[in-house]
Amino acid sequence: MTDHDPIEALLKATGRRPAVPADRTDRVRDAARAEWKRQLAAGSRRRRVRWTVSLAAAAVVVFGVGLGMRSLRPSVAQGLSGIHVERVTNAAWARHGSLPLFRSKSPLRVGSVISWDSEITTGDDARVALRAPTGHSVRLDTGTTLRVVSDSVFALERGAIYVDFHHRSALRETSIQIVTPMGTIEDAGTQFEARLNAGSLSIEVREGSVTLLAPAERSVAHAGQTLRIDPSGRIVRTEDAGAGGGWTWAEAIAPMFEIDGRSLLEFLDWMTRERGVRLEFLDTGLAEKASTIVLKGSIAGMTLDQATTSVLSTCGVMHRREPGVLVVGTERQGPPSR
Amino acid sequence: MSSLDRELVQRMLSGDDRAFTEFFDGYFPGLFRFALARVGRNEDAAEEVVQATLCAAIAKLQTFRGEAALFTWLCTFCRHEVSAFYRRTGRNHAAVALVEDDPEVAAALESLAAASDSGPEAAMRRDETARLVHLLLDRLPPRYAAALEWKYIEGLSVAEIAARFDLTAKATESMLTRAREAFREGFSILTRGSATGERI
Repeated sequence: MTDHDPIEALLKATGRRPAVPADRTDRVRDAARAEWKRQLAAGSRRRRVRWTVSLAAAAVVVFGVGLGMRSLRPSVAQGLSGIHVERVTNAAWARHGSLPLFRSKSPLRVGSVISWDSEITTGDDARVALRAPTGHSVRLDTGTTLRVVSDSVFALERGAIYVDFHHRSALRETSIQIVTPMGTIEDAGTQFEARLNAGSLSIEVREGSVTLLAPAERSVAHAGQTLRIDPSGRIVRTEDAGAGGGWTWAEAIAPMFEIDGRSLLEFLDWMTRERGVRLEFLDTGLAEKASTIVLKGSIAGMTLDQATTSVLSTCGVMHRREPGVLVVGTERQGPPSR
Repeated sequence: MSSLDRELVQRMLSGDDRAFTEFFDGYFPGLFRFALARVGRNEDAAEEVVQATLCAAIAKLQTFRGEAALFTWLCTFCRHEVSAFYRRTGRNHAAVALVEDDPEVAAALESLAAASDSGPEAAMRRDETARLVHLLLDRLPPRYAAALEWKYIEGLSVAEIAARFDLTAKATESMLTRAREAFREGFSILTRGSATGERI
């Protein structure tokens, strides 16, 4: 732009907007943040009271309203969200609706669409795998409560969540945020677990990195690292992510890969990612051929181990597991030796 | 903008700390300047008014529906707090007259034509014009205002602005175009009927 540009000339003539003195900014920010925290805590209490009141009220009116209520009951398929349920084990529920009397829970099924502002709860033996429109796989462990704020913002209230963002499978590249009482977690194309336990939060990063935006500080954790935030807000970083077998539950609820029409290489890519291991070919011939071998059928209902054995044996491919590696080779070479 | 404002508010209601920071950093400075102009340039009073404004607005966040821009919504709280301030202090609120509250804004903007004039009257007019431009920037989406200041006052390149926003150069160019349009439209409305006929 030149000085003949009237917008540039006007802005130059008037200069920057005067800044607010830092001490005043800090004082007002502290006061506003305190009020915000107070309102959040009050809102949480109000929700609990509303739920209690709604239970009592429902007990009174249930006979009067009878089965007619069923037609008014909100469905988990309502709303504008693009978040789908991909897999469920045992009983998990979604609650939706702001009016206490009409706030009820609906069982989650594969294919259900979760409404914004829904609260998903898994029981002591239930797990759920969701798919966000951003391409993220979001998995809930047993005993978890998660609120869906929007397509890319989730609030973890208890339990554990596992997030997997695979660039190659993503519909569009964007991050998601997991809001917790200890801070907000933002992913950067990654696999990680966040777990709330007795007022503390732990974040274990399997791949990529995540950012924790806590009230006191901003921390970044990379693959292999764990961030632990205690109730006082103190953050401790260690290099032991996954050491306690933290990924096992997430693998158990992994949405099964639909193999029909997909290549062997795609299957191996998915499998090794779910397992968090590297793929190694014993011979270059198989490495070149893997992308041209087209799979048929389905592995629905299998475990990851069963699926691996089933698919690879069908393709005449032998395999063995080594620490951090899945080794594959063509069958004519004989079983890979240890 | 409403959907972005609604999303920001939703994220705040869910307890997202980053959303609070975005909200505060995006709107506090503009609100402070808004209040400062209405409390006789008394910074202590402006701080008190804005603190009360933000606390009141945060307590009512769940009522924000996005029919108006978030800054406009916050300004309604601020006006109320300014009135409360004058009631508490016993000062005469009516004595505070603001050009943007008056449909005849042309006189203040004549200072553009008189920019080379010297003397206290011309200086006062220039100050008033600057205040209106700053007011207009405060009314734009925070990113638009920041982009315009960085580009035209600080002289940053598109690449440097893109880096600050973590956007591509193409997206930044597009945002600058929208920001210029928004500024041009706002300024035209502000100066409609101006005796100087100044248009940008």
